[in-house]
Amino acid sequence: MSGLDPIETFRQEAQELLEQVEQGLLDLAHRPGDRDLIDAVFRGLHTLKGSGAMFGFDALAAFTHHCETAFDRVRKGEVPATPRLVACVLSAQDHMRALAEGRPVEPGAGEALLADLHAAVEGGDAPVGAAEPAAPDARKWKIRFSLPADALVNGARPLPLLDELRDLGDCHVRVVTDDVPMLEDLVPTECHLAWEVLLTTPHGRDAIDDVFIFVIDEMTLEVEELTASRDLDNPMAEAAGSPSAVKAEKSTETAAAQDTRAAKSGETVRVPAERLDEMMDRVGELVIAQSRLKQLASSSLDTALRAVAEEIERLAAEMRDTMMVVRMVPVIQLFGRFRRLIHDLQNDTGKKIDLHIEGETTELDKTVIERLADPLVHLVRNAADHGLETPEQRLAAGKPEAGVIRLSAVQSGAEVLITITDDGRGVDRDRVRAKAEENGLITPGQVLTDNELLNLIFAPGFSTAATITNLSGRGVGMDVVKKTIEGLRGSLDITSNPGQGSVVSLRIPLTLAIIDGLLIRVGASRFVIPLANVEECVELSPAQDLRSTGRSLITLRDELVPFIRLREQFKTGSAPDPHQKIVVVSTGQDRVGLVVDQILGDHQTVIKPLSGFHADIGAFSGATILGDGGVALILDIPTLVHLGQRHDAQMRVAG
Amino acid sequence: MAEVYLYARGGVVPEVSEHLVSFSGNLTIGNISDAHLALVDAMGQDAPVVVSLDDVSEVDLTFAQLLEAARRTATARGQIIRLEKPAEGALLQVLQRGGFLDPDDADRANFWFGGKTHS
Repeated sequence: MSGLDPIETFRQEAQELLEQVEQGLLDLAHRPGDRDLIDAVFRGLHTLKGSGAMFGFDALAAFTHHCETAFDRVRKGEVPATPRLVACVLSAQDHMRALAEGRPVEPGAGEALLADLHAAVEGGDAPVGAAEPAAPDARKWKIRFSLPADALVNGARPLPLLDELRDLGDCHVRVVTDDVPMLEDLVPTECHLAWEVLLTTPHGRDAIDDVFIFVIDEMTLEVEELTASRDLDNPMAEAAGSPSAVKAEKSTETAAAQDTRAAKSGETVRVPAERLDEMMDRVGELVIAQSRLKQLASSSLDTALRAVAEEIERLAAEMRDTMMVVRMVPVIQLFGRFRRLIHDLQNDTGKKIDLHIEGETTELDKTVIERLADPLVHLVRNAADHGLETPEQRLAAGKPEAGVIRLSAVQSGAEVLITITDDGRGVDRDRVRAKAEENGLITPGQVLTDNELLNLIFAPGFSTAATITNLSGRGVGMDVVKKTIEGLRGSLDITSNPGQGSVVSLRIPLTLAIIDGLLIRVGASRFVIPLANVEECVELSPAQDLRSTGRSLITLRDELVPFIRLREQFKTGSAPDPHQKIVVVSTGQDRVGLVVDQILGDHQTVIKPLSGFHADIGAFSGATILGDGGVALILDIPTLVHLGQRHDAQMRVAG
Repeated sequence: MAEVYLYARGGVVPEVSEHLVSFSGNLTIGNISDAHLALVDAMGQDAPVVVSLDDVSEVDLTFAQLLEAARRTATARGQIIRLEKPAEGALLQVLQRGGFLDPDDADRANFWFGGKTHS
């Protein structure tokens, strides 16, 4: 991709405009009469139409034209911005996004949306233009799906899926048995059935996709919209048939679009993310080379060389800091999409939800933001689905009818703390315990701290939903969320008060490329421990070492902390140093001590990912090059803490 | 656990007696292989097969698929297989939910409502 491709430039601009329009629409849903919002939405649509036509996105321009016309009438006070109209334009947004990105769109989807829009503008009255088709209340879909042969053995259940489709609207289900083999050849536990479903539903394609959301990876699914035959002079055809209408405005549009672009280019330059990544790599190399220079210079008597080395050290550090900032984007990019999610969730769950967003100007590395999106969506859905009660339950509990979900981001040092708070019913600890016992995660009657109990929610295969909904509760997700966050070298924690709600907090490092590390030596090898995980370093005297043979526990401020002898773990085969140290590391609430031979000091580390060949060695998360050109492996703390805790648990059981 | 009885009895058809296969209990993915063996065995006899489902309490898709396989096999070979009574209870629910009773496939729907397969 070149950074100057005009089509790509338009797509990015369209993306921004659509987001702007979407935010405006969502605000309008709360403040229907707000003039500024109406104007902002209108302007966004207007600009999108103009630029679209300029870059040859004719279908998009024609389609947007209709939405713009609708909002023009709102602007002139001819029609009110009803919730229905807002909902129509929101659905139309998704269609525009598809057109702008050049994704294939369902034939007829555009017309159906425009018909809805028209009906909304007219308030359901007969359309003015005789050429406009009446609004269909529902769209008709043809869905075909089949499962792999081993699906039933693996627990897939097609009947509930069919039931869910029936819940969406009028549904005609037919099983296709053409692939069922002859009786003698049939393996009766295999699934050779396929289904054809004709569905008439007011819901969109998303609702259908949501039904299959958890089995989509392993099944074949075809969804096509069956459009009713429409008049030939439908709005789209009309727009395409009379391009003069669009063209006539094009000249002014273009000027406007160019104006906005000119204004923009003065302040920002778009750079493809890959180039930033390349630069980041170079800066990393520079930091490594600089630390080698520093070592050489420090052992040299040449003052000029030392002066230059110091100068370069300063520059490299500044360059690194600048580079970090370049890759940072405000989390509003991430949080912005949740307003739409909440809007949809309200419709799906029938709950009233207010979303509060705080600290949206906090910045995070672009890559981190991208990888955070899915886990956050899951956590927010969970809060809406399990956390918040229905309006009736809330009123009965003496709470306001609408539940609140609060997303906040705040920077603290080299980390960003993101919290998802809800004021719902809180986590039902008894159910968590019962569920965990049922799934064999804990033994019945096992003594757990409150925190350990709550964190069971993030254990693989855990789900407390008594009823399975579309949103959550199929036992997938929370463990994946935890994995993803730990993959970002972050940590996650949950606190909850019964009846008052829950708080899930994520601590995420600002960047993935460079960390401050503690350089240590074990035997003849050097390793790096991420400084963010280090709590303290203590001496392990030979006497203590001997005493604790067999029971690797040390008492730190009246608390027992298990420790791991890295010398044994990595089988260095060397004798321990007389003055071994314990580096106490933590993830969230869990602490483990790592016994090392020597602490060499802090070290700024440029992380190099391990090759695919070494990627599944659990104890290391990457490698770095040291000032003297040697290589040190970076320890993966969550894995080691887990190992230490497990070891400790075994010890306790054995003891 | 499904119990399967297999015995010949004087049928309505004068020249051949029918084979009755009776299924009872739960017929789900866990034990469907037993039902499969019983059906293969019954179809191997040179006689029309009648399937009795009187005491069936729970069934799942695998059972519907199994009988569908038997029906299609019989049709292909010109054999006769039929249900003793039209499908009811748990089986009828599975058939309705799974879209087996769609009138577009008349032969299939007919079979489940107690009709015979014809060669």
